[in-house]
Amino acid sequence: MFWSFSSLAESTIIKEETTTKIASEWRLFNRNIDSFFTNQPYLVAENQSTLSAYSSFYLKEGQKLQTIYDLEARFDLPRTTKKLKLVIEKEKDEVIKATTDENVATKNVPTNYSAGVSYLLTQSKYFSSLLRFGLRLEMPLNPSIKVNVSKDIKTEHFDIGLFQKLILYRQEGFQEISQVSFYKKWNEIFQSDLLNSLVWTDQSDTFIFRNNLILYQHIGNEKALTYSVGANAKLSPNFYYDVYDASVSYRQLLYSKWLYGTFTLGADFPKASGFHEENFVQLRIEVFFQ
Amino acid sequence: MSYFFALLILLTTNCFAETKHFLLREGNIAVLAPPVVNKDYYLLEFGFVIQKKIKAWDYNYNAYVNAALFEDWKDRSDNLHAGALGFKAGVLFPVPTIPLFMKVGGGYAKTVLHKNPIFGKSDQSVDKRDMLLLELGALYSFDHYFVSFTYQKSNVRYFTRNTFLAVGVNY
Repeated sequence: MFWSFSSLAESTIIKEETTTKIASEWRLFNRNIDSFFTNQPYLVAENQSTLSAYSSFYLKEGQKLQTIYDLEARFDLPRTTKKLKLVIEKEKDEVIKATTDENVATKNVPTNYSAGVSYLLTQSKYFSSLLRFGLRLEMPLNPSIKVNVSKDIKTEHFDIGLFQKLILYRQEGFQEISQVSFYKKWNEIFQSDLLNSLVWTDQSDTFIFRNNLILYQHIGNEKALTYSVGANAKLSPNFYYDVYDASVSYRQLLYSKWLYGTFTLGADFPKASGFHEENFVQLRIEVFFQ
Repeated sequence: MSYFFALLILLTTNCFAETKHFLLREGNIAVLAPPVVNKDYYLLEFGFVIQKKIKAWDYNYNAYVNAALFEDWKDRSDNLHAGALGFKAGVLFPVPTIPLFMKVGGGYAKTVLHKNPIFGKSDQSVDKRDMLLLELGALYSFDHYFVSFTYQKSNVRYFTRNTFLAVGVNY
């Protein structure tokens, strides 16, 4: 799927089934929730639930050290029929996710719990469309409706991903995210992803355009380097680049099959400060269960 | 001291085995605390319950996880209501020989102080807090139905109601 291209390299590292006790408990918990809705057992292999908790230390030039602790979780309840699924998740705001460097996306980005029902409209090997009704854990109530359409096109030289997301929140109003990606696996070591996103929200009432070139380098057993350069532009009143960013991240498995560490070194170049570099470092410790 | 010995005798006898007859059956539960019974307060809960056992004592009990929505405007003169949406989890310890349970639970919720905390606009909120909740109480079951009395304490000051009565169904 298109959306997953940018994290494909990381996924190849982290998608290994863990046999730890926490993972077993996690599956058991999901099974209980699932049987609550369906009264049917399911195979563990069908469960796509994930749990990730992290602690991040982010230091930017001229700013105080930011320490961020957060949790991202997804309860995927597979027996709530093949097409209709109940998903409970805690995730980052989709618009912020689409307009920031994924390696440092933890800075000042709130995550929200939400529960929703997803209905798979169509699915084939290279095309899928999805409708989701959800409710964020917040007051006053903030129900939402989301439509996702994605298409992958395989060519001889690279894969093209097309992704369109339309979101309507009762509180924030309408949001749209359009993405086009060009993904290429050069060899067993290098992969690249050129990601182009166009985002519009009712709240900002302006389009934001982002180009992001990412190069993944697999450097051995459970170790990877990611090089990223990106630029964000605004389309009103005129087209202009608002901020540039660049980063290098080193990610390594630290313990067993579930504890990861990521060290990122990078810089932002915002227009507001005359495109002068604002360096940052980030250390992120993460536990991941699937 | 006599209570301690009484408890010790209870623990060492096999009357705990009887507790399995009174357990709520595994499945769903729905709870309603209507404003008619609880002045200026209502609560809706929906979730699932499972059966657990302390093997050493042959003692059976229930555990539950509920999604909860509740609103409190007790003793308020400013036309504002406190509303919360979140999760509760806890255990129900049955008392041997009767279908009475001791309830111990906790919860987490997002709360707001607002004129209309359910359907209002977010930017008109007077205050917003994350709530951590502790609950203690008793629950009496009749077949698939139950009534409960709960004492609750939270870290959010604009929730002033500490006790409420609720009815529920286990299905």
